[in-house]
Amino acid sequence: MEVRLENLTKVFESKNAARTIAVNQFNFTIPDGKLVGLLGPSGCGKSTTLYMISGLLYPTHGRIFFGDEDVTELSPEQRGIGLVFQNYALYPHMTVKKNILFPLENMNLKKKAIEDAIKSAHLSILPKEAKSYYQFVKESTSLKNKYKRLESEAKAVYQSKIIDLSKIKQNQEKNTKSLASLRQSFQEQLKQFKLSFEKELQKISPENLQTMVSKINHAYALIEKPYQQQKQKLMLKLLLNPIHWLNFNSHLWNALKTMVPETIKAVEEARYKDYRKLMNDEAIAMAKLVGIEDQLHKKPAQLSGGQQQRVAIARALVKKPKVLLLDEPLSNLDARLRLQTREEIKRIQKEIGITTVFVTHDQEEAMSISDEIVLMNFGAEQQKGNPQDVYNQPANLFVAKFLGTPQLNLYQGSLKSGKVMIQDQVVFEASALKNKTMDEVLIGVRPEGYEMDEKGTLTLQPQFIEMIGRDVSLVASHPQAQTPSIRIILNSDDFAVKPNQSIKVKLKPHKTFIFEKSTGRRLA
Amino acid sequence: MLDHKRDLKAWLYLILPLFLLTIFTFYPLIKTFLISLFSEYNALTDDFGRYFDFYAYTAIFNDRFFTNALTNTLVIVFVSVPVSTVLALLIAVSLNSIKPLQKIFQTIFFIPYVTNALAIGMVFNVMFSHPLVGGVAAEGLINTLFQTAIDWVGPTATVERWRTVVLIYTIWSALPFKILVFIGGLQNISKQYYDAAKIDAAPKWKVMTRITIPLLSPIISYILITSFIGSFKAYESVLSVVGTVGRSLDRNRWTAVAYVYDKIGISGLDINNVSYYSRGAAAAVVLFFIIMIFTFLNLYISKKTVHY
Repeated sequence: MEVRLENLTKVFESKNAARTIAVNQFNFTIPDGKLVGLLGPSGCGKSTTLYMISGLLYPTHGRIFFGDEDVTELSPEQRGIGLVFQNYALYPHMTVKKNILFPLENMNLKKKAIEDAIKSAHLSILPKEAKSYYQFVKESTSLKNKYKRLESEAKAVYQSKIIDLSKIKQNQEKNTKSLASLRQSFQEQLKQFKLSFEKELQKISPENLQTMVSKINHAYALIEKPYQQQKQKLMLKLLLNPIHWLNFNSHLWNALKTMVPETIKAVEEARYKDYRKLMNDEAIAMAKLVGIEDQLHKKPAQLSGGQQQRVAIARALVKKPKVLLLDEPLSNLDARLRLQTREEIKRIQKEIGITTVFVTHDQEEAMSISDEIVLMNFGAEQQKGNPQDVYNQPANLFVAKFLGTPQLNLYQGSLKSGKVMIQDQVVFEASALKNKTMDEVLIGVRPEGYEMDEKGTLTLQPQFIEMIGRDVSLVASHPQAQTPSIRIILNSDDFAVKPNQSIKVKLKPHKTFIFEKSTGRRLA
Repeated sequence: MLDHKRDLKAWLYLILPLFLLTIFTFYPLIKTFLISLFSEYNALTDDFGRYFDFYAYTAIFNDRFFTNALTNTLVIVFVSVPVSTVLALLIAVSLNSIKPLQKIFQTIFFIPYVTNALAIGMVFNVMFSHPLVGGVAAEGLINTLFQTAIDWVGPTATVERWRTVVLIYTIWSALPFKILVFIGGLQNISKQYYDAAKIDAAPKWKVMTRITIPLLSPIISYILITSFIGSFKAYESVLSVVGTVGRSLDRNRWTAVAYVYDKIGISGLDINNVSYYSRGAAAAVVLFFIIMIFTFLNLYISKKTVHY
């Protein structure tokens, strides 16, 4: 299921009238079956966005679509989403199995199965009437939702107008007057909605709705009635024999199987199915998928962080949601487990092909498992796309700095008719910069973007060599660098570096980015 | 070595409380126990007498007023504790779910707690009062409100009536503390569980029974144990609500503690040569064991049912 966010905005208002715009005009489409990472520093609005998709928070403006359906006004349980909380929020008093079963128990599987079976029975008995009737049911619900949405939008506008009014200082009388007129126009609007809703409902309802419904019910009852009588007789007979008292329903269904008319067989089957067993099987299957089938009878507190995480994922997935949302899924795990779990998440997501959104502040995490990443800052999108593309072609200074470890090295320089200079040495040229002159630009170089070269234009003062496992990096300094030290990832053949002896390097053009200093906009 | 030093310091800190406990708890406890077994104990001369036997116990169990007092106590315990706990839980949950005026309501519900129990009891007494001779004094508030002339708490009140009033009073006065503790417990439950329940589409009653109550169960069990113990010791509630000012409590309205209190006020021996003081001590010991057994039972049940 594709998830579409349109102009999503969330404003938090506090008592002292301070407004925080957590998410600002956010537009994004999450493609069906893909894993998308929302990435950004803390406070950038990524979690708020996730909670708005889940329905735990309602947007101030904007709309959320799941496929073609507008879910903006729907509550979390109506949306059909699975959410994994940052601290997992596993119920501590329930065993793992009960935790996984809990969402299933709330789904009322039996009622839904019976309703579906009745619907298909109707369709097979009176195809023409039933089809148009169910078409009408579907259309009228979507119409109802549409007007509910319109109403809530109007209400939001009305409320924001009231707030605006209360902020303008004017005399009491005038204030009450404009408040009254506001309310009146709002009520007028609501009345209008109600009228046009009834009109539209009239338009889509078939002329003979009443007779159609009674016709369908009659035809169904005609088939069901003789069977029901037989069933009652049989029930009485069975009840008289104590052997059948235990597991009465399964005995009854075994006896009924042969006499139930073919058309309503599915309905009766749905009525007598063992849902407890069904739910149990599903919970166990889900536990197997995430690899915790041997932990089912433990309490969450007895599990390790990684196992708890899996239980949380199983609980989110067991009701077969359309969208899976993960809030900082790895932040509570240690480094080794994090690596393992993130592969696990990717595997599970691929296995069931569910559209997944996950939130993280860790760029490495996001880049390693996402099909697509969205970088956010200050509640707005900075850049989106394939992780490697975003890394290779950052749109602005923020994105370039946020992605990549060690961080991008920044130098202060200038731009003179297409030539980028650091300390009067030309270090970079690009056709895009032709004829441009700027006194202050920032030159960003990825740590892997250096090449040792005797004829290199950039002179660095090495400080020391840092070795972390297989990574060898040189820590050096440069007078024009934005940070006191810069980090360069070395090739194994570059070891001939001695401290206190300056080295000359060349910048690789595709690892070097030029930004405008004042705005952070990328120039080349 | 270091461990021993620490031990010494700990004992040093414990000396004063242990000393006080010995004087004011252990000594009286043991002495009461002994007095109950020396049936000729003389309180005036502190003479234990010649006989070491169970006569004091047989005497109280043959005493109609003692068994009646035990019944009164048990009624108070087994009605008021469950009812007030359930009520307090419901009130706390609803108080916790409203945002505006929450503090004001919390204060209103807490007022009975900061008011003197005897004073409130006497107010109840006046509210439920009924003049014995018509026309002399006005009917109490309750009789006036419901246009009745029933003696609720006076000398002619039936058992059911005065017990009802006592129960209303006990439940009402037990609520504030419980509500306060429950609200504290509810606010300690992480909001995430409720968010998770929302995502899991749990209906409201299910959130209450499957999430709120289990997560609150340690506090519920604490409240149950302490209030069971507390209401086994009920006395002043009965005294102030259904007693008559200036006169001692009607013997049919005694609770276990009232029985003890009455008996230790009488010196000398009864017709069976059992000292009244020993009878009081025996009643106190019986009450002590009932409370102890009951508390162990409570702890055992909560170990089985309290989650995590």
